[in-house]
Amino acid sequence: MKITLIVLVLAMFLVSGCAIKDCQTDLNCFKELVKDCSKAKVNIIYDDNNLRLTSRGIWLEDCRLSFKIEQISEKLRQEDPNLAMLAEGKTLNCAIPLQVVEQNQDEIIDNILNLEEQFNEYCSGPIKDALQGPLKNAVKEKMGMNIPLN
Amino acid sequence: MTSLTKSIHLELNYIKERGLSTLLFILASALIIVLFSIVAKIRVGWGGFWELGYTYYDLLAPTIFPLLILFVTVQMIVLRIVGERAPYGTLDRELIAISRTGMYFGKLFVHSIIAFIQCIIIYLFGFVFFPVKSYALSPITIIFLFFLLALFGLSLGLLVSIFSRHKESAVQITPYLVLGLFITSLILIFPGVTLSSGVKVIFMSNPVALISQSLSESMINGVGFEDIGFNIIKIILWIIGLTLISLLKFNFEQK
Repeated sequence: MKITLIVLVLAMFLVSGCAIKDCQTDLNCFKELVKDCSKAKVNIIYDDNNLRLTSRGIWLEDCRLSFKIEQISEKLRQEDPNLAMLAEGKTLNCAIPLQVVEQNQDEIIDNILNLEEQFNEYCSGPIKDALQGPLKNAVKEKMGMNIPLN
Repeated sequence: MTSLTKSIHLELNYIKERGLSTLLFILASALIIVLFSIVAKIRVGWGGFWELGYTYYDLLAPTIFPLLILFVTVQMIVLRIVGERAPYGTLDRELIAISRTGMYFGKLFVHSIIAFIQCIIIYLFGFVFFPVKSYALSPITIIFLFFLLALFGLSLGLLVSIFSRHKESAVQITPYLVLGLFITSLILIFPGVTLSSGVKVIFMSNPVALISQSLSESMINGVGFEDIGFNIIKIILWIIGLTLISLLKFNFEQK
């Protein structure tokens, strides 16, 4: 009985610790939550491309943000199947010092969405590697530049 | 002493007596990783992997590592009940002092420790000494996924052990079970393979496929727990399901 209770409490603790607020497609809701680096996620859909931003909270004095290309539009897939296969499902994971988050607030998300090079030092992941490879221009032009931000 | 602690003591003694063979079991998987890392260092030329500098070692690791874990865990435990049955084994004598449920969990617990050590060794060889390209957010994600599969392998091994009538049948069925699970998960690696939704649901419910997919999502795409959480829940359900079926059969056979 005791063991069952301990397991249940631990499970509840884990589930509550892992819970991420879903802002659906409301970028302002996400921006508000990410100001103090709360856990949240938002989907940004433009031209049928689906991008997801996730704030994973604070870990070792860094605010963990993640940017994932969930789905590529059919148009882009037909235009450049190689790029679509390369980019779909890939992420950019950033560990941004809390001081930088406090100073920049809104700009951080804009910079991640626009894949600004100044974030090279904080971010890693397959998207970053793709940007450094021969597909740099294609990825930047087709995926990073035309995102409507509020 | 409770049934569980008695069973744990017995199982620990068994492992101590066969320390060398257990060590060989674990080291064999490390050796396979070393060989695999040497022979599969060929650049992948399709699916955009060339641009990212992927080799076949990087691409296949999320499928090969789970296969190693599954093989070792199932083989390690598959004879622990059927091999101890009368007339050659001591199971009947042990069951006088230990409950069947305690016996089951004692064996599972002790072998889980060995399996955890195996997961750490596979991680060290696959990610540190002969590093595979990985964007995983943390080593904990990888080791956790390895260990979940190890637990599945142990519950599967115990299930086979409980349901088998003879040692021979348990030994014979194990490779087919493991290879069957492995082959049906292979389909997920190749891009452009289209499956009907019904078949896909079956293939995607295969625990090896669930772990392979979670590992490749984590290692190749760099996703976090939120994207693989559903797979983790499914594999936990598999483990609970196999444990319940095994316990029911094991307890039922005394009546």
